[in-house]
Amino acid sequence: MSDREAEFREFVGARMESLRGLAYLTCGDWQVAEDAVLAALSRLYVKWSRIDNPEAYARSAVVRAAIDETRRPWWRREKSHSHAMPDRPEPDATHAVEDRLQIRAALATLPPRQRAVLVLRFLEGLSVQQTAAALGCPEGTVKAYTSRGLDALRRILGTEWEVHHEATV
Amino acid sequence: MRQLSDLLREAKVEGPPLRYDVDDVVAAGRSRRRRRNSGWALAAVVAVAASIGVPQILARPQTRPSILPAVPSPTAATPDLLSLSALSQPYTVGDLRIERPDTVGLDGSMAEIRRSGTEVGRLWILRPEIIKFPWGTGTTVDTATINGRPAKWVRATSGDDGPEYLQWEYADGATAVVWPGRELSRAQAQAVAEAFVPAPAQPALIGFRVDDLPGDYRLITAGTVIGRVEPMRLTFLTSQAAEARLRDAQVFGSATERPGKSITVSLTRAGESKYPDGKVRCADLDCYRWDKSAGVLFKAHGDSVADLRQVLGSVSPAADLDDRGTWFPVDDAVPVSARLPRR
Repeated sequence: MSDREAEFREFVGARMESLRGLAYLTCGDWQVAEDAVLAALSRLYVKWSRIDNPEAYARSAVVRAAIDETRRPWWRREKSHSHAMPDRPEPDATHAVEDRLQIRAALATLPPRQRAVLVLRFLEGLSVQQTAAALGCPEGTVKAYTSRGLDALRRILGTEWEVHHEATV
Repeated sequence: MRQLSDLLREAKVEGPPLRYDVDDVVAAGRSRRRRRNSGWALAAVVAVAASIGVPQILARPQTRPSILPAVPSPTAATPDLLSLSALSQPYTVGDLRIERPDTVGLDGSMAEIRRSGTEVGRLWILRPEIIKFPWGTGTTVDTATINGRPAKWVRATSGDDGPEYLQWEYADGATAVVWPGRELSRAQAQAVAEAFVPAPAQPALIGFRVDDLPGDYRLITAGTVIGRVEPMRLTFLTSQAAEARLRDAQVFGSATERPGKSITVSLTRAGESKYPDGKVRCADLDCYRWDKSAGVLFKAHGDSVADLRQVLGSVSPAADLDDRGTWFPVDDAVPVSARLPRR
């Protein structure tokens, strides 16, 4: 095994689970998220020796792949019968589980690119500029999606939260 | 006050076990590199051929036969039951290869459009009676002509980021769709559409079978390829919901269709597994059964663990997953009771 491949393996081993979570929050389906991660990391493998910032490349590729998955024609057809996010939160004995279901259900109501913007900005802590670069869209779009996405989450969850600690609009 | 980052972090915990590991990623990367290299070699050959005036063998024929819709023919043994068949055959347009359909359903069949081994779009041939094709608002953004027939470009959802697709009538009363990815231009999508020639439906094959299905579930779709975006799979819907789709002649379930009244059984290759060989193990509404000798992991998802256990107790893989000759016709891979009657 070459040193480069060993480096790649180490990177994948360390980041695969986290990237899957990122993809899941973007597309709302664990299985599709895994496929998106596999597709993105296989592309990274081919380019590994030429990529300066594999972390940023992987993050961007995974989110874009997850968004692309939601644009496929079978997405809507199969969505209600797969492992997708629940349509509505269900009560649970523990707050953590309840929170999890509620935020998943709330995210599921947003278009995938809006979800991706929120996840990149408030989970990954990217700036507007970095998020725009990751998604390949104008900074104005990121700002608009951030605003719309946060409004929608507030409306659905009926709550306020701190959002300014990781990134500024 | 909670932080949004905490909520997002909470939302992604407790996922199911990863189906892939580092070895799978490396294998996929090597495969991608091989495909890319062979794709470049092919492109070079095509370029040289074009430069020395070799006739364009990839172009569609100048004269087209009369166009008939792709109608699945009933199988001899069960003429009164609907057959899930492949409604297109592989063909080539320039550097694009349209593969054998990998998904067949009540509504038609879908095939990958590939360039240098990478998927760049989908060709979806709908059965003649399937006339409703709603996706979101379905706004027409442009019109075109495909082989003299009207076609249109449709944006699936409102807003500026909805996917666009090309929809045209390939025969009287029969609709087809090209669903381009980012790397397929409108012109290329239209070339794919123009080169499509309906052919007699072919039986779709799948690498496993289900012999016992509880309740009144009916087969609605089958994914027939291993190792692509989705695993090989059979999806069943309760008879009422499945018949409603057929009755309403629509591609997608209606917005009011109750989610969850379904069972999906899938197969992925797994030389190793954390699950015990031959035993059914369940977590929430996902159940797994690993078949060590065949090197496959079956998974079932649905509403009832008891139902899923019953299904997984009856699944069996084809004799050799690498030999399609041993696979089962989709129609024969499920109990007869799971098939819908022809209308």
